[in-house]
Amino acid sequence: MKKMNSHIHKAILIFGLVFISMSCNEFLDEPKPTTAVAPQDVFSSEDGVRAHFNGIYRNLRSQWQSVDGKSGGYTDTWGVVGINLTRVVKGTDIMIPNGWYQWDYRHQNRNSNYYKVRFIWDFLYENINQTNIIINGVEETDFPESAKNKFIAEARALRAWSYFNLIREYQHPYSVDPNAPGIPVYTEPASIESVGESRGTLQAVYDQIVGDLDYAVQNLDPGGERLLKSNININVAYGLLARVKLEMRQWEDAKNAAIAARNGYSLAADQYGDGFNKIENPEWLWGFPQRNDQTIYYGNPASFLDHFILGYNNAFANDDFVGLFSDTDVRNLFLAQFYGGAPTDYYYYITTKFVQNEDFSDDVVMMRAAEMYLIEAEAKAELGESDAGDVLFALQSNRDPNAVKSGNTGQALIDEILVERRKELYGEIGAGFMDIRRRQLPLIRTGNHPDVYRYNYPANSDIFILRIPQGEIDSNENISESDQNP
Amino acid sequence: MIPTNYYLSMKNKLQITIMLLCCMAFVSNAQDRTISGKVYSLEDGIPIPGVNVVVKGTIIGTISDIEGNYSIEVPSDESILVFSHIGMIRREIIVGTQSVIDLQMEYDLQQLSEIVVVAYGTQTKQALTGAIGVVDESMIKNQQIVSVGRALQGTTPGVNVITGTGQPGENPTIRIRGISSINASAEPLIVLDGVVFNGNLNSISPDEIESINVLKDASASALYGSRAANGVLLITTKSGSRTGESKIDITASFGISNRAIPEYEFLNADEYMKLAWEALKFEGEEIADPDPGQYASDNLIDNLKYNPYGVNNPIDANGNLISGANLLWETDWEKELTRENALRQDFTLSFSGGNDKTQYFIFGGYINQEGQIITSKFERLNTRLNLETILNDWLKIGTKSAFSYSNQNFPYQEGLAFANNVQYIRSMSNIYPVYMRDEDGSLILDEEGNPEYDFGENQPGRIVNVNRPVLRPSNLVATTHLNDIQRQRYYTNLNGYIDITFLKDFSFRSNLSYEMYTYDRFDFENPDNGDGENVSGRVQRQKNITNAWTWYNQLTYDKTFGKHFISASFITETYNFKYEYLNAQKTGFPFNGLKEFNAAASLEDISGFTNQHRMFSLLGRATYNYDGRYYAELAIRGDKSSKFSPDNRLGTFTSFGASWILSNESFFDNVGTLSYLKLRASYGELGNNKILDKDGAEVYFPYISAFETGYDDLDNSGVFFNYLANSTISWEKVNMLNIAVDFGFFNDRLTGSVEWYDKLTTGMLFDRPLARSLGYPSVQENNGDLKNTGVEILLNSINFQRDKFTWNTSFNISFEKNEITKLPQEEILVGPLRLKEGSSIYEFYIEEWAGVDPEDGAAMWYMDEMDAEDNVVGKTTTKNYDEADRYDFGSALPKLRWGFSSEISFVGFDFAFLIAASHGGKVHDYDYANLMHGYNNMGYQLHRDILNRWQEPGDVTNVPRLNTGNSDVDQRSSNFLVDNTYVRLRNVTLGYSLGPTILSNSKVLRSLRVFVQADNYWTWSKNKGLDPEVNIKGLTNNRSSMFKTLSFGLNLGF
Repeated sequence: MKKMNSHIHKAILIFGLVFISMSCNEFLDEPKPTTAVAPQDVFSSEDGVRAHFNGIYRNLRSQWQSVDGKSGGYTDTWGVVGINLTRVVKGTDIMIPNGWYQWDYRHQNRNSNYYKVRFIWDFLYENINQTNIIINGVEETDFPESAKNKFIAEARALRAWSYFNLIREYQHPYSVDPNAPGIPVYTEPASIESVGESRGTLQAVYDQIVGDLDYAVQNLDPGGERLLKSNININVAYGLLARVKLEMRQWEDAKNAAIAARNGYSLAADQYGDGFNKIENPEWLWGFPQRNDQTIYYGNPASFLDHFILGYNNAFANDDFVGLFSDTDVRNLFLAQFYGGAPTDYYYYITTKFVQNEDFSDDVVMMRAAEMYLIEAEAKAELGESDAGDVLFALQSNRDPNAVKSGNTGQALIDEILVERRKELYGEIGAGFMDIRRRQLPLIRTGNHPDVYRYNYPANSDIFILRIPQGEIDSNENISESDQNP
Repeated sequence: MIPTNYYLSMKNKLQITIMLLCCMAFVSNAQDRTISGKVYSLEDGIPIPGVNVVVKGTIIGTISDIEGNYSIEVPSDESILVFSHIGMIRREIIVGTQSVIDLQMEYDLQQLSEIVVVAYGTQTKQALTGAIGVVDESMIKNQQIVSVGRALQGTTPGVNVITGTGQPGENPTIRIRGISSINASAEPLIVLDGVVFNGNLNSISPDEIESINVLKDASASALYGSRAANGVLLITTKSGSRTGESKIDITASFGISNRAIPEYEFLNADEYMKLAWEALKFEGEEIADPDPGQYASDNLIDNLKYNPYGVNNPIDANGNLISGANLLWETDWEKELTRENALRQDFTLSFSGGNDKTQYFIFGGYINQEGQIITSKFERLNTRLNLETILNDWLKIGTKSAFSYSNQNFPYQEGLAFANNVQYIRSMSNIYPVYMRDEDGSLILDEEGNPEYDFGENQPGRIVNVNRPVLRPSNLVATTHLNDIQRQRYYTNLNGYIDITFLKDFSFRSNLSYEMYTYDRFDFENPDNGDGENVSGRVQRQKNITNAWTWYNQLTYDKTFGKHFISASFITETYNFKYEYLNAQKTGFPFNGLKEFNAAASLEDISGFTNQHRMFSLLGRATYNYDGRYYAELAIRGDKSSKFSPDNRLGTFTSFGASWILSNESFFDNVGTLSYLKLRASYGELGNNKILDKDGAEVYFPYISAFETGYDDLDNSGVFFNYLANSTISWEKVNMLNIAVDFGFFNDRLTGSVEWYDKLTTGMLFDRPLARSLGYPSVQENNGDLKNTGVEILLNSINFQRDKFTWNTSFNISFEKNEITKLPQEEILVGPLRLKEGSSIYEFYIEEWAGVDPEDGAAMWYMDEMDAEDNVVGKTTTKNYDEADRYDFGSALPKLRWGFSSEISFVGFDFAFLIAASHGGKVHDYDYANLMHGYNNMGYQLHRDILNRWQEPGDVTNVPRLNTGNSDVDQRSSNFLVDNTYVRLRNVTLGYSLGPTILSNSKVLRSLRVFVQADNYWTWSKNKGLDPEVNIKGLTNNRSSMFKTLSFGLNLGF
């Protein structure tokens, strides 16, 4: 009996201890996040800030889903490529009558509740907030002043790029009316207390963009190294400034920025036909790399433009556009009758400018030296500088050994430059359509566009701008239905 | 781990007390003697076997034998013998000097099932003060379910069960008493054999379950504290019995399954071609082509890309099929991609039994159910050992251990992915072929003479029968077969306990439960066709391992003083949950037929992380009962959770319940036919700690703003700010009031209950939207109130009870109302829904369809009409969808649901059925909308309703003119909103058992039953094609649909 008594005694004692022992706080403090880091960790070192930049660049080229994660992404909204190709097909030269991007090609994709409209808005504003987080975070660190300024300069350039892309989608060009409604501008990261801004004016948006880019070119390190060509360096910042000034018709600034931008980058005609998927190309100032494990797969431009691979293969070249190229032009990368058909069939010409790598590792082009030549030439032509034609011919003769200088001046030269821009930049970032907007030209589609899409829209048609996403109107107390675009 | 001073002193006190109590216990243990006797039924004097006879306050116990005899050793004259038996009134007898105690026991009509499993214990049904719904073994057995959650549908009032997919093995959505959260989880807590369950519900076999109890109110569930706000499902597995009998039971059934509701009806190929011509003719008119009919004829094949007739311009300028044009193919994609007569097999084997010391239940089960989509399948193997043994008169030990393996073949059947077979069926029109066709429409054969799958790709030099405008490149008939998608799950649960009885009134239990759950996802894309083609095949493998343990220690004190009965429990519980995720992806398979990582060349992705959650809790419960008339219960749980910042870590949840059994009062003796009457009320607070992120995944550190890793730019590691936290985030709290009456009439032949509840969620987590341009969508706040109120009625009747004929019915009905009572802002738009004070959380707020203009066939919607001051003065129509305004259209939540079931047994036959119904919920049928695109999606499938389209001025119809432009006719609007009222015959079972007289000749066979079961064989709904069990929010998403199943089976008992 005594033995049993002690058994019970012991057992009860053990369990009594159990009651007591488990209340310590260490037990509850031990779990920690394993895949996320807190803001104080990111901004505790320059490497931490760099990691945030890397994350931003990666996000820009990702299979972007949606800012609230509640609806999936689409093949034509996968990051920067989604924006670029949307513009490409809105013009006169590349045609996508069916499949992904067809509604953009058809100019039937601007309503406030369409996902494309929502994507461009959300995607770029998400990027703006990330850049604001960096700027704000870096300002509060005790890094050396020079390091701080470089970080802030890069973030501000990235922010300017976002605003510039946004404002051109949701409002007519700067030259039409600087006092027209703009888009909300934020320079602080979103917090729990943040409230949406009003549309303000177009001028205010451009002031922000120019201020950011001016700061960037003043503070970025000339000749500074970068981890990858996805990173904005001083050349890219100048390139962005050149684009912005061209849009604003501030020709002197545009010219100077364009010249500064291409410093250290050369034209490489021999690589033009290499498929536009290699970031190492010496012409590329800015681009996004991809690798088999970091790719947007079938969202790549080649998926639509390259007809030799398994992809959507739905982009075609317009016959009138193809007719602009001489036989000896390295950019004349067109094939007739790949599928058969007559010259009047939209599928008569395909282009081989874009080639898909087997493992989807196609790099994405964002800015090239050639564009800077063209900006310089256009600015000079507008300024009446006599060597404008020479700058243009520098590019033309690089592309076509048999090129003959036209000798054009004035408007004829400008028109020639605009055609050259289409020829040089087709399929890349939508220069053709954005030039129609910028120069306030009508959109006139000719040649073998399908009858129903052979549009003739007047200059500054409201068709060219997107409506403000309904979600913004619903969630922003400072924007109402009456602020909506026509 | 250093105990605080407070605990040290407590520990000392406890030690001393316990030692003292132990000494007393063993002093009185010294004088054992034997009592024997016989137990009879009071009504007919027949001996009762299987009566539990226990010395109160000990585990000394025995069971009466087949003659009703028992014999037991008792420690002293003061010992009390407790006699209990299911369905009979429990008796307590003081031994005194007697050595023979014969006893008459009385049937207890008030107790349909005596013991009810509750949080951390059991109670008699009489003593309940809370709201508990019970689904017992027979209700589960009568349904052919794969996931046990479905057994709750129609059988328990207040529980909403929506299955939403035809993939076997998927768990239904279960909501108890409305929906008490918007942005945190609304899932009920699942407790398996007393411990919170962290596996997948589909790991549990319905055949190993004794009962599922649904804890619905605060009194019943407060002991689960911060996890109980959405209600609790207590699943109890079977155990053996102490009657001395050993049983072997075998069940085998075999069945076939088919769609419960037929697919939407589609156009046939001829119709599709002719209507496409009509759409193009309108296009020609719009661009002022001189001969629109000819324009359409010329452009038809150019638009559709495929020509199923093999002749040029098969539709002429007048829209007629030219002579000699005959269809060379017409594909029924539903037939190609779904199964008819999917097979179901279900086998179980169990051994159960025991003696007065030990009871056991050993179970093995296997189920194999094919799904609706080709290759879809679920296979599961379950084993279980439940064992309990009494070691001596103060110690009992037990285990409940299970292992389960399942494998799901899971071809995609939901969402927007190309690979979704259901979307595919509803996208590909009949004019597209399964196999490649040449210009003339003849099959293209490979070198071996076999047809080749058509992926709709481009081919150089070809313009007809290539370049399909629909879901290119893809062919799911090929890839669903050639790809391999598996979901394997391994679940192990080891649950052990020790019960110690000491003194007369104390008992102690220590229970340790360990779970390991492995989810193994395997996705293989074949190298020859489809998504894997470009990369020579791809394999993705994901392994998620959940390790969890819960240790609780429970000290219970029970004491009766005269007519007062007191019970109190004190419990500590420690919970540790760890989830490890590992995912990798490789491409490049040089050899066909290989699918493992080693055989693949290049790494495409690898990622991993760990989530952890820990809790420490102190619980207490006290119950009091006076004379079987008045009951009261108080429960408190304090939870500390690692999910919240140290400042907000502690949550305390308290509830109080009381009941009064009026029918046990003396004044109640002559109240006509009313035989039982009980009033119940409870009030208390519950919590919800399952905070979800914007993708619906559980957040483990909701108070920490975070940069997510994994955003690497090539080899440079990157982070991205993707969680804007509110540092003060805390639990959601639910305050719940429950008032109920339980009643019985005609000697309890008719019993039932009526319950009313009011459930108020406060500090509700809200994703308060930020302006979209802020670049961050929303921020979480505890800043909202939500109210769920409802009435539940349950009626059970024994219509007939004779030796050879019994007939029981059960009816339940629930009325529910969900209302937001406080929002952080005036309104919040979430997709097609609007959150607003005063309306439900799933309130449709969408564009209003205004019909079709008979003049031009254009679709119209309503928009607000404004006066000069921008005030809304009415509404007018618009043909521009972008101008349409949104209006309220009611809730996706049903207003009421009911279930009706009946069981009849007659001579050897048994017959049972169950009907479940839901009234008043709305569904926005996007799937149907997509089928009414009117050729703005050229080549995509169309519903037959498109035949009613507007054709010429004056036509009055609801289907707009065909239009190849971006016409918005298929956009969200009230046109596609339907009333989802339905009535479904969930189950019918007919069985025949061989009678005991026949079996008594057999030495081996104890019982034999053959049966036929039919599930979901009849559904009434106003909607065609749409399965009513679609989604709790009332939104379709191209999901596979429910099955009807017909099975034949056999039960054998040895």
